[in-house]
Amino acid sequence: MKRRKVLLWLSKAAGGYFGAAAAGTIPQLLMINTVRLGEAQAQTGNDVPGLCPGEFCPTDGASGPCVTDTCATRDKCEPGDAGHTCYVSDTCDIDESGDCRGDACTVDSSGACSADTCATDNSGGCISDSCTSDKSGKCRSDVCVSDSSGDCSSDQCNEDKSGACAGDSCDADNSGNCSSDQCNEDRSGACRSDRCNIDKSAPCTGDVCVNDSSGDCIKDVCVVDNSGSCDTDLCRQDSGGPCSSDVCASDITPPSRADAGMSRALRWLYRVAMLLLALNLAPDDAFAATVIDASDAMFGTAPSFQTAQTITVPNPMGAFIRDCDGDGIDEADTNGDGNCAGDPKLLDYNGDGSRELPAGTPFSGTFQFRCVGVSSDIALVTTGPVALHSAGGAGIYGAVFAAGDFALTAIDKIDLKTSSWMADEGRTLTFRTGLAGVVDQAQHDYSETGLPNLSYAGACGATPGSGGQPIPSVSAWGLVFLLLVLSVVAWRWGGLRKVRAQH
Amino acid sequence: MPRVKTARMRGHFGGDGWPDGQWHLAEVHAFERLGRHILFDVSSMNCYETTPVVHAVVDAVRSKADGSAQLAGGRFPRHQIKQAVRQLQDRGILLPGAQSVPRARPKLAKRLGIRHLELMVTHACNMRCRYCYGSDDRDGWQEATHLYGARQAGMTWETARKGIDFLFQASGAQKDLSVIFFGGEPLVEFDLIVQVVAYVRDKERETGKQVGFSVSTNGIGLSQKVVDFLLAENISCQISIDGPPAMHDRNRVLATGQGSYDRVMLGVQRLIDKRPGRVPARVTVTAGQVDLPAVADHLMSLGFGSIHIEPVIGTAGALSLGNADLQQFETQTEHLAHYLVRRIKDGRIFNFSNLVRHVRQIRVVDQRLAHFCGAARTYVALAQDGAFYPCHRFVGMAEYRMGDLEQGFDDTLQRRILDLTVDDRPECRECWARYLCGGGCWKHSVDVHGDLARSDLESSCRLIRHQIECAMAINGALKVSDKELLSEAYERTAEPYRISEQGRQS
Repeated sequence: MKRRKVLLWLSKAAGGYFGAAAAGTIPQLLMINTVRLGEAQAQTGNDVPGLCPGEFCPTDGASGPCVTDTCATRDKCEPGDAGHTCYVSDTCDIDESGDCRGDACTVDSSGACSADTCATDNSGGCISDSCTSDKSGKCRSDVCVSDSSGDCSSDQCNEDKSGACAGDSCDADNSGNCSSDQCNEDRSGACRSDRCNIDKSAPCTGDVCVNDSSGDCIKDVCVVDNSGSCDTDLCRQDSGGPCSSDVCASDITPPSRADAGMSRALRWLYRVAMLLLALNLAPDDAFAATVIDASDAMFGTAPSFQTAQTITVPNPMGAFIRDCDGDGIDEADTNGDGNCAGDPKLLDYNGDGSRELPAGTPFSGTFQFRCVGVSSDIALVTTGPVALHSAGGAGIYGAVFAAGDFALTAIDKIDLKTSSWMADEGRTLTFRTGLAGVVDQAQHDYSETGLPNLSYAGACGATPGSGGQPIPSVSAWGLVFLLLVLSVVAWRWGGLRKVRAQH
Repeated sequence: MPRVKTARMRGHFGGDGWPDGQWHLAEVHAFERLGRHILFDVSSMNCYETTPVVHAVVDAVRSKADGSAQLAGGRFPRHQIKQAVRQLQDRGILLPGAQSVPRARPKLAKRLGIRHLELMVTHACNMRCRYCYGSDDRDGWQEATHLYGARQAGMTWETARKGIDFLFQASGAQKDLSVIFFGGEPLVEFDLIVQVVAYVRDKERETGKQVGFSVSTNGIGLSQKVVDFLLAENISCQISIDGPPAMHDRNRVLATGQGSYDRVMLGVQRLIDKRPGRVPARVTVTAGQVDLPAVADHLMSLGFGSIHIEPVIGTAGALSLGNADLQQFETQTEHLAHYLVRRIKDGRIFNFSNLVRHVRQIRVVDQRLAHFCGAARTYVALAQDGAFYPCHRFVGMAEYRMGDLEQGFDDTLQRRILDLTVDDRPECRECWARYLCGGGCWKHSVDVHGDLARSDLESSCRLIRHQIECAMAINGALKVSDKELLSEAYERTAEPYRISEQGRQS
């Protein structure tokens, strides 16, 4: 025991070497795959001497074969700071190298860059630059805050001053020769088919914008229309001067004859409908089932309603609008083949808060569906005559612009509550049902912002994408109850007025 | 291996520390790599970090020269030689007498039973990579059909469904299965993939088995919809990408001949954003373009979870790595090995799977591979025409066809490959790395020698052995906890079939 202690002391005194050597315990072989034996010799491992490759030494900026240098001023990959042999992702404040690619720098003056990411790009031959300010002369597909390049195409920038742009996506477009722009504010002089929040371009055609101030619009679809000479606009509010055939919730235009006539007719229809409803003086079929419900619907062209028709739909192909591929986005079966392939998705492509087909989607022909449901946040534009046949019911609550004759035929009930309809001149809107009953065209006092969101809940099930509830129809007993209540209220109100008059 | 401890068997030591009598070595491989001396005992699979004196002793015995004469030059003190000898004796590495009889070989486990199905959902591709082995005409790669040897591009739903039925039936009692979607570019047939996954989920419920999915893609088809699906179904997704734009675009080009980097990155970034640090990258390196650090650095900066770099070797003509390229590949692999060690000591992971795979494997001392991969034994590829092959690389090669869905699975090739263990192949049975390598890729053997039993010594074997040496040195440099971290990182990003295959082979 004493001998062991002496050996231990000696071992410590000699830094372990002598004692361990004397005891024969210097490990010459340390097992390093220890899992099975469970020895788990924790080896700290010394730092490996030898190479320190430049690739992974941030401080080794002057090494020979540089890759991904980080430097303050310019490349240091070659003697003389020329930097001409670098080719991979230089990161520097100023890049003056001649043949760099994929640089990320504050200022890029390199001549042959591509896909640069920099604050200022002065390079002459850039492609696909991402920079704050692009002054390059021959850019393509630039993404920048301000683009002054003369030869851009498909730019995405906050402000585009380029002269020959096409397909720009920018906040403000001042370019003179744009087409198919998508921007918040479009001031370009010769735009066509613009999609923007504010359109100030003069001779626009077919614009889709939130606010249209253009002077010469035709067939605009907008929320607010301030255009001076609009024609057949479809908008929520129209302030345009000599408009005709506008379909809008709020029309501030000086009434033209046509408008005045239509307004009078609508008001008359509304009053008659309300009178019939309130006094229950309708003919015998007043309590008959409503088979076409067009209440609160707006028709720019007078529709034709046909009930009790003989209707057969021999080969229905599923639902017209449905989430066919299960991705949560509805598709429209605009080719009527019942398959998902090629069906366009209904999305808010123009950012106006409603869903629509992609611009230019062909939509015409004769179709047979199990059911047709178009919820209130969908706006459809046909491109020719359309005949929709439903083997069940149909519900269209959104907006339809018919470029040709439009016919909706359903074996079951047709529901058109709150829908908006517009058609080219001379085109017809026809609604046919196999049921016998009443066509309801009552107008209620909805404000534009208070319109309910409606989605179709028919044989095909609810159409996804709209969280609204359908307007409940009034049953016969419900109507009797309502009339009783109204009578009591009217009697009480009349009585109170008399009492006040006496005082 | 019983330890030899008796004084008689240790022998008496002479004045120079060398034992009297005749001695021979067990089958060992001693080498110096990454500044470390490593000794690997092939029989026991024990791996040691050693000292220069141990290596000197091993060299002396191996050279059959007079040990005392070699070691007496004063290079090492007598007591160190004596300790080295004793420890080699204790571990059954230095054995008494002359080696006269052939060494006994361990009985290798031959694993059999299909449980991984590779569905060649299409041979169509939206890219025209210059090194693609799908091309049947390398000179005219851009116009080539890229159908391997097949005559049609797409797989029908009926074929896919029957393939899945085959997998569930052929896997017998095995519970953990996997399906790998391959191509062509498999996402071209995304609708079919969705259909297959739904069908498999139904089969899982029926049978109680579990299926892991993986897909190898060029990344172009990674739309938000596809990414959401991969996430929802927990499908492992490996991206083929060759590094920074300039390197990537050199070989990975679109059908137009333009580089694909920008197109690819749109989808790749979408996936990485959802799976940060969990997306594996697979890199192909061609002749004259060996810059592994640049590749690794770039892919790590993009947020990939693991990087596997595969050189083009074999019969790919001018694209194949020559000797100078291979040397560069090895040198740069060592750079990355150093970097891996430094990084993990900083508490960060560098999942360079070429090395990490072996680091993980070497840690487990009693694991011997009989074969390199599960091809034909546990893994089979179903081509779009309903024929079976050992893996995607063999698709279209008539002599490696393993039956089809209509006529049934032909196990002739399966039985042949099963019997071709590393101890049965002429070059492998003499190689120290055989139980860690498993014999290398079958297709490389066929490409180079036209024979499954042969090995591609010049390139494939050389690189694997080098990587195993690096992995052993890394094992010496790391703490146990570091190795566990690495192993976990590897499991997070490797395909499900690879994990299960490696974890269960013994």
